[in-house]
Amino acid sequence: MALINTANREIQCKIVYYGIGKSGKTTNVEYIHAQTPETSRGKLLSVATEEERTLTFDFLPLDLGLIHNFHVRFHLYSVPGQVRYERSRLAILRSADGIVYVADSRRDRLEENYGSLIELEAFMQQIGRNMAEFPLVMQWNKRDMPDALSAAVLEHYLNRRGAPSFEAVALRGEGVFPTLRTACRLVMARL
Amino acid sequence: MPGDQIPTDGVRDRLARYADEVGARQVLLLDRGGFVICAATGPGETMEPVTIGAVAAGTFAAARELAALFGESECQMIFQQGAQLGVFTLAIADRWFFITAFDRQAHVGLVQVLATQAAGDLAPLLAPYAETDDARDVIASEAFRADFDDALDRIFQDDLSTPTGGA
Repeated sequence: MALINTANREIQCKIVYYGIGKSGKTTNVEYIHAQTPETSRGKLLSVATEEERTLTFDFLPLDLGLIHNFHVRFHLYSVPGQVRYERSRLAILRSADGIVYVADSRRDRLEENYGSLIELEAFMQQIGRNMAEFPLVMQWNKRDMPDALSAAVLEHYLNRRGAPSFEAVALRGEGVFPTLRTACRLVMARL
Repeated sequence: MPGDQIPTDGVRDRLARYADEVGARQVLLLDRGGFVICAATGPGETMEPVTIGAVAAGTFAAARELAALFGESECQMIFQQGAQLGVFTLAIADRWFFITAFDRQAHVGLVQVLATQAAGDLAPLLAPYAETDDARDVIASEAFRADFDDALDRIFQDDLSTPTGGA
């Protein structure tokens, strides 16, 4: 849940990058860290890795500076995607203000993506959040892969709620910032 | 979902007093999401509150999930013992917690007693944090939204793509 600290004139919001293992969540966060001006970014933190995968979460604080005398900060988290870390995902989701769902566009990942979204909906229900009203952005990542499904197919199977969606090749940075900007706007609109 | 708005009048003073009583190197007051509300740092100490907040919140959330797996619904405190430092984390009500880094010479039992007293004092100070319309009015204003959009476009830029689908 966002924090509006009236004494310190601060607004702090949390966006969680969610999706299956190796869908590109960490790659998104790493690109944002690499491309954001040093004055607007904090330290990129990866809490414990195992076999080069996110074990607990990645964390990147972003500072948008003073806006109408409020210091606006966004904290980005990416959750571990592997099935066995579901409790870690639930823990990180609890205080989220917005979600970026990073889908792997490859044909053989469609079913796993679908299952992951079902899990996400169940988690949101479990923690008392209304998914229909929650800030959500879909990202169709790995568009450069030869077996990538069309965006229309991904929309049909994975975007039943009609959330804003972006095609991306996160490894090259394509679609990363449009996704982030939209997520930030949706979160701020819900405060 | 509306955000929390936390006035820190009195909170900072109580936290500083607690830090002094314990002889803490660092004390951070956080909400459960890991957002820093305020901090107290001992003489000559430096810290990275934002990073500490994120890791502390993750640790606390993980401990709570671990407790749940054993059938326990609560997780009120965590104590970590190191070679030079102890780290004590204590929940305040159901929304906040604070984390204390202290020298090993300090007795953890004393830290726990003083932290519990501080938590009892801080809870009512944090309780009336409910909404203040002036902050919400500012955030909801068109001028704020426009400047917020400008900041996003200025800081997060490499292209200006539009959504490919959805709403």
